[in-house]
Parts: sequence; C-alpha cells; structure tokens
Amino acid sequence: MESDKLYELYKKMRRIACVEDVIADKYYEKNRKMHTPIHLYNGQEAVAVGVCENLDREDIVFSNHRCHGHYLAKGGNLKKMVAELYSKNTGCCKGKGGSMHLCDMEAGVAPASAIVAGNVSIATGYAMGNKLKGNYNVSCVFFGDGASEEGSVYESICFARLKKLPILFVCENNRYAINTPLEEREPLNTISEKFSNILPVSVLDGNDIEVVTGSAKEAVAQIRNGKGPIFLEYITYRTRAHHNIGDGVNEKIRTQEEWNMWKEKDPVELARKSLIRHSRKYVRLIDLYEEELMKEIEEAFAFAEESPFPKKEEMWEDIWG
Amino acid sequence: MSEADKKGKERFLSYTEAEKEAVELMLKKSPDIVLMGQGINDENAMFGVTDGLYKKYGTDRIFDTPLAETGLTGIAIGLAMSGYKVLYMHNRPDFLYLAMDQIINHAAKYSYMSGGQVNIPLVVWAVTGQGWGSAAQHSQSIHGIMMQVPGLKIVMPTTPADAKGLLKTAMDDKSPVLFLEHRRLFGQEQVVPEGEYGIPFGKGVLRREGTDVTVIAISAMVIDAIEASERLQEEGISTEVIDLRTVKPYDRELLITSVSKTKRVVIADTSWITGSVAKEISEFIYRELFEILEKRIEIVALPDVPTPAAYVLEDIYYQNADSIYYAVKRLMEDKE
Ligand SMILES: Cc1ncc(C[n+]2csc(CCOP(=O)(O)OP(=O)(O)O)c2C)c(N)n1
Ligand SMILES: [Mg+2]
Repeated sequence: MESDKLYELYKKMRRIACVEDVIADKYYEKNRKMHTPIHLYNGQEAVAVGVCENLDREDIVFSNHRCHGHYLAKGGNLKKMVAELYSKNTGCCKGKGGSMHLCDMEAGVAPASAIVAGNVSIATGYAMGNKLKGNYNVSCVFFGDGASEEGSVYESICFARLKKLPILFVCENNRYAINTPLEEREPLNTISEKFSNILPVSVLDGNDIEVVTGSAKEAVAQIRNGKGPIFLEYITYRTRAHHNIGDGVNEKIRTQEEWNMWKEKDPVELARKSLIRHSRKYVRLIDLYEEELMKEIEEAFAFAEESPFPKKEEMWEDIWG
Repeated sequence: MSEADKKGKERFLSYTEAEKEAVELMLKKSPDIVLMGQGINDENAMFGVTDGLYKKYGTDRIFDTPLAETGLTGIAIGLAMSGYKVLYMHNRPDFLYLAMDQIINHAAKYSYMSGGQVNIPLVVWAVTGQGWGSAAQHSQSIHGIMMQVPGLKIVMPTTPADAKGLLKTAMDDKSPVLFLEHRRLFGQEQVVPEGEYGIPFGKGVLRREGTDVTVIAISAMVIDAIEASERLQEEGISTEVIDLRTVKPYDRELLITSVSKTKRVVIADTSWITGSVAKEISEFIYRELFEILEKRIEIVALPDVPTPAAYVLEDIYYQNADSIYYAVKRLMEDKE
C-alpha cells in the first residue's frame, strides 16, 4: 500500500479512536451530559475503516450496539453523533436513538440495532432490494462473534446464498460476548467454519489495516460483479470493557497479559509505526492532524452542548412512517 | 340502467377473491410491490389470494420463502427499508411468534429510533384458524398481544369488500401493518366494487343499527353478532352491531356515538380475555362514558386456556352467536 494511502486510513482510524477517547473522558464528568449506555470501538478501528474504505455513498452499512466506528467510517456526521449522545434534538436520531442506534441515511448508515444480530437479516433484505432494482450497490453488515450464534444469521446467510444477494457479511471476532469467551460458546475454532459450506469465507487479521482494506476491496468487487454474498471474519480485540469506559481487564477472563498483548497490536498504533518507518515526514503530519482532529472534536462537542433538547411534543413524532 | 339490471351486473366475490383483486390491481400499477410467503406460489396459494400471480409478475416479485420466519421477517423489513412495499403472507398467525423480534424490536421501532429517517412499509398478513381439532398451535388470534406495541397498526377486516379496501390502505401505509384474518370469514360472498379503493384506518362501521345494546365485534365475531342480533330482534331487543375493522387505531368516535345512545355494551373478541383488545376498549368506554352506562360491560372472549383439540372441548372454548345472545340478555334483564 502506498504510504499516503496508509496515512489517509490512519487518520480515519485515529479519528474514531480519538472520538471514543474523548467520550470516555467526558462520560463521568461532574455534570454528566451523556445519559446513554456506550459500547466503545477502541481496538477494532481497522475493521470499520478498512471495509468502509471500499464502499461508496450509495452502499449501505448496518451495525450493532457497538456502532460509533461503523457510523464514522461510513461518513456519518460527527456533530450529529455527539449531539445524539447528548440527548439533543440536533442528534442524528433527534435524541430518540442514543448511542446504540446511530443512523445517517444520507451517508448510507442504516439504524443500528442493539438486539444482537437484529440487523443481519435486515441488511440481507436491503441487499435483495438492491438486486431487484438492478443497481450495483452493496449492503454490508457488521456483527460480532456473539451475534453469529443467533439463528437468524444462519437463516440470512442461507437466503443470501440462495438468491446470490449483493451483501458483505463482516464478522468482528473479538473473542468475547460481554464476558463470555469464545471457547465457552463456540464448537469450532473460527466463526467462519460454521458457514464455510454455504458461502465463501475468509479469516483475516482485523488489526492490520492493509489486510482489512485489501480483503474487503476484493470482496466488494466480487459482490458488485454479481458473484453473491461473501463472509469475512476479522480477528480483533476490543481494548475497552464491553460497555462503559474501562479497559475490561479482569483476573479470571480477560487477563492483563492478554490485554497487553493485544494493546501491542492496536491497529492505530500499528499503522502509525508503519508510517513512520516509511518516512519521517509522517511524524510532523501526524502531529498536524492531531491538532486538526482535536479541533473538529471540540467543535462537535460544542455543537452538542449548544443544541436544544427535544421539546416535549417531539416525543410523539416519528412513531409512524 | 334499471336497478334490476344493475344487480345482474354486480359481481359477487369471496373474501380471498376480493383480496386477490386488490393485490393484482396494485401489482399492475406499481413495480415496487413485493409479495412473499411460505407456499405463496403453490396450489393453495395463500387460500387463493396469490393464485397464479407469479406467472404474470414473476418470481422475483412474488417469491416463496424458506421456513425461517425470524430471518425472513428481517429480510422483509430490509426490502421495505430499501423502498419496496412488502406483503409477507403466513397461513397462520401462530408462526409469527417466531418473528416477534423482527416485528416488535425492529419493524415497529425503526422509524422512531432513527428520528424518522427510515420507513418500514411492511404488511404482515396471516389467517387465524378455528375448529377441526386444530389445537393450541394452529388457532391463535394475536392482536391482543400485538396491540401493546407502539409503532404497529392492526387491521382485522370482516367482509370481502372491506378486505379489499383495507388491504390497499395497508399497502399504501408507510408503517408496518399486521393484517389479521379469520378462516370463518372465508365462506362469505358479497358484492365487491370494481377498481381500486381504500378504506381509512380507524373507521369502524355499523353493520346493524339498534337502540338497546351496542355489540362491538372484532373479525369473525361480527358474523356471530349479526346472527345474535337477528334472534334478539325477534324478541323485541334492538342491538347495534359495530364492526371495528381496525383495532389499532380503533374508532373511538363511533364507539362514543353508539354507546351514548344505547348505554349498554357487549364486546366480542376472537382472542383470550386477559389483556385483550376487548378489555382495552372496555376501559376506554368506562373512562369516557362511565356516568351514562346502565350496566357494566359484558365481554365475550376466549377463556384463558390454550385451544383444546377435542371438539367437545372446542365447543365450550369458542364463543359464538349464543354467547353474544346471552350477554345481551343479561344486560337487558332489568329492562324486560
Ligand atoms: C438478542 C440479544 N441478546 C442479548 C443481548 C445482550 N448483549 C448485548 S451485547 C452482547 C454481546 C455481543 O457480543 P458480540 O456479538 O460478539 O459483539 P461485541 O460486543 O463483542 O462487539 C450481548 C449478549 C442483546 N443485546 N440482544
Ligand atoms: Mg464479540
């Protein structure tokens, strides 16, 4: 990958990481402003960025409870996202969705579902809509290793294969569903094996942005060419707790050693190091971007602070289509 | 044209023929309508509603489905979100329990949770069975359970002409609609207007005018209510029969007008009594018209047991014209 391209991807990952960090910093501030349960995306940034890099605005992304990264990577509006976390009516969902249901249809981000695997079948239906219309748009759904255990995922994958639907299934295998490790839930070593006789699957390093971008590029091209659905499993790790702002380390399950090992492989850090190896010029560029980014994020939080709350009567709006 | 000539030209259609006509008129007009369901293109063809349609409109738009109600309901929602009007048909509502997550957690909530960014124009159609030992899993009316859910509309037409008009309104609606029918209604034939027409949601209709008692009936209970009211008429008791047509929203105005006149109320529901639509309506009437009611409201609904298979037990379990007849008689006791 060209280093300038890598720099672009680095910035997108760093942006997500930084937004999450600022949310974490402010989450417990004295006069709490964010009254919404958060599932931060730190550690998995390469998956969202690498996949969405290959999607166009007309392509649609479906997400889950851990949706901040997918939303931002696909081009969801940052100001509206923060305003949503602040319960403001300028939020992307007018204050009716909160952290787990971010949506920006203008950017091709469908409403995220916090019912585990809830969006996998809906994304499949959307792909069918695209196919019926005869366009070349791709539907892409992100879901966890835990979600892959829901029956509707199997149902959706079989149907997508049956109808050769233009859908990319992206499983982010971070080895945990809340605190339950993979070994206690899964019969096989990978998630993909469960589906490998139905559709093409690959198991890939989800912390290497070049690997993710490259594999998704190939998959998206095939899907656009009418080859039918593809399943990509990215092995990754969340460096935060399942929800809330901690690091999720605990003695019995997620040990400090395990966490340290994965922190070494943090995708944003890996990309940064790789850039600097390419050329010293990136030291300065990265610093410059840091300033730009902090300014953008500060503006987004200021926008959220200044925005009005929804009015009482707005509670009754948008129930019906 | 004389009245007699006109009559000769009028077409009598069955319930499912009327629905088929509604569906076909819509298919012809707009390319964005999709029909799906398990067995939709087989010889039963959803009791005839989709009979042969796939030959004209293709299996892309009218497709049979795997037995995966959860996943396929999600798929129907995704199709609807992408801009299609989707009619997902089931032979029985009992199977919809598998799809509750998608109907309740997703279809009913996506417009709201997204601040109005998406619509889910999905109609889920199903037919309640009754009798012939169908037992507990092939006989359920689910409107009481579903009525609680904000974001869902529930339509329960009684006559062929209403089924045709309400199906069009349901398909034109931008929100998810449950379209719930009853096998006992399928025997009817009726003059059904030609061409497309819609019937607004939230508008009930008087099937019979009367002065002594209002019988508010849902779905197949309308047939029983009319039968009972004919017998009661012979005894000099005048009943007004309201066909609710849609249970969410339901026609509050019509209920108030009718009950203000009769001051006596029977509510007849096809489902279980606890947590029922009948109870919801009775609460509404008590709240609005408590002072003028002559008697407490009588509810005719199913006892709180799973449907038994044995026909001798079915006979006790199911409510019918007799049940309504006696409920009215109880209300009229002191008047006679
Ligand atoms: C149907 C359902 N069951 C349980 C939950 C509670 N829950 C929320 S997130 C989660 C774990 C999901 O794990 P995974 O899919 O691997 O995603 P991750 O959190 O690791 O990103 C669970 C069990 C839920 N939201 N929905
Ligand atoms: Mg997981």
